[in-house]
Parts: sequence; structure tokens; C-alpha cells
Amino acid sequence: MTVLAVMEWVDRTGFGTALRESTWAVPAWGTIHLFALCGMLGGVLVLSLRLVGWAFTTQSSERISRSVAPLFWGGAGAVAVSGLVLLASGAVKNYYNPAFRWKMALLVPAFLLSIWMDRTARSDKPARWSGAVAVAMFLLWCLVAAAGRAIGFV
Amino acid sequence: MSLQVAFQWVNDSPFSTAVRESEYLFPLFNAVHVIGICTLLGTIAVFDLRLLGILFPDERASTVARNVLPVVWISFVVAGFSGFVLLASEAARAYTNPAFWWKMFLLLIAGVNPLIFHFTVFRRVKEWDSAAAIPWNARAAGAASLLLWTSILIAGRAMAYF
Repeated sequence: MTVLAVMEWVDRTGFGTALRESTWAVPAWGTIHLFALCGMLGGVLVLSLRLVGWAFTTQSSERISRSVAPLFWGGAGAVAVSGLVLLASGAVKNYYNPAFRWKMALLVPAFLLSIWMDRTARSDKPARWSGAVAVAMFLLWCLVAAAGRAIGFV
Repeated sequence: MSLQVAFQWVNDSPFSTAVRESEYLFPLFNAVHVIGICTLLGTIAVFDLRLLGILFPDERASTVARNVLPVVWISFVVAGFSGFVLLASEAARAYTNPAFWWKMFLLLIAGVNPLIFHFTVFRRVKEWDSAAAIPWNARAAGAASLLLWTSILIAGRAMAYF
């Protein structure tokens, strides 16, 4: 079964149809998506700043990683759920949207680098280049957000 | 000159027209605005959740403030600057948009809230810095800030639907 077939099936389900036909569902889920993204990026940013050495320099990176974990994972979970709902609100349309494809492609390295950054922050000796990776990862998340915004424009 | 005339004048300026009519400028400033909002709300939430005793319970409130608030200010400048560009580009539309005026009203309150907090309860932060018992007014300021910024986000998103 191809991805396109799955998207076509999602569009045919009662859930997908209800989302498309509702006036408030997409605006509401879009707002939840943005709100959750704020939490997730807030967590990512604070840990990045610690690894670059611009914030919380008197605390260990392990301690900061543990402190921001609830915000990051809570935000990431809500971002994923609301993102799937938004995808289902126009599955085939999104499938053919180039901005959506860019977003998905950028999402993979951004997420993997975030996990790596968290792991190195919690190790006894964080990698020396973790600050550079943190900057790259944060820029990747910014591109994900920009691509997300672009979905509505293309 | 009435306010509406001023908004219309900004709307018709060459700069606003260029942003509005460009294929890339409006989406670009929109993306910058969203990124600014994410880091702004994300870092404000870190401090507010510390005031509520939910996040960073092991760090002093003043430590979290010192490390996080500079990022809040930078984000505020990014979101504010891009916001002004976006507003200028569709000033005439914004003037008649109820969601826009709600957003401005809520922004005003969101600005007053930390002012009150800073000049009252935060002055005595040394007394409750590492204490598990955060005073009720510090908790109230944190809760009010979270609620206000969430409402601002909703009003901002709603602008697109009016």
C-alpha cells in the first residue's frame, strides 16, 4: 500500500470528512499545534543555550536537560497529535503540497539531532561540538516552523 | 487625522504595498513572526511554570529569571518587529478586524502584568527564591501570564479568519 493510498483512505474516513466540513476544527487544531510548538521549542532553546554556554552555565547540562524534559516531551507529544489531526483534515492535499514535504524532510534530522543533543547533555562529558550541533538543530527547527507556515501559502 | 485614516495611510505606503504584493515578503515575515512567538511563549512559559513550581523546582527563581528573561526580550523584539511589518502590510484590514483589537488589548495587559510583578513581589525574591512555598501573588502572576499569552496566541491566529 502506497503512502498516497493511505492519504486517500484518510480523506474517505468519517474523521477526515468531519474535519474538512467543520468550520472551527482546523483553526482550533492549528492554534493547539502552534501552542504546543511554543512549549517544545522553548525547551529545545533553553537546553541549546546551555550547551552553547549562553545560559545556566553554573548548572550541569544534565540538570538542565532533566528540567526542560517535561516541557519538551509534553510539547512534542501535543505537536504530533495536533499535527496528525491537521494532516488528516486534508491528507491528499497535504501529500501533494511541496511545503508539507519539505517540513517532513526537515523534521527527521531536527528530531534526531534533538534526541542526540539530549543524550549528550546527560552524559558525563558532553561532546565538545554539542554547542555547534545545538545551533544547527535550533535552525533546523526554525526551518520546520517556516515550512509549516508555508503550507498555507503554497 | 482619525486613527482609521492613519491606518489607511500606513496601508497605502510604498513599503506596506511592497510587502503585501510580494510573493515572498509576507510569508517570510509571517514565518519570522511565528518563530519569534514560539521562542517568546516557550521561554515565558519556562519562567511562569517556575513561578507555579512546576518546572525547574531545583533552581532558584532568580536564577531562572536571569538566564531565561534575556531570551524573552530578544524574542519579543523579533516577534514585535515582524509583527509591525505584518500589521503595516494589512493595516486597513486589521483596523476592522475584532481579533486584532482583542490581541492589542491583551498585549497591553500582558505588558502590565510583569511590571506589577517586577516592582512588587519580585523585589522580595530573595525571601522565596529557593523555597518550596512560592507566595500566592507570584503564582498568580505566573498563571496570569500563561493565560494571557495563550489568549494572545488564539487572538493572533483568529485574525486570519475574520
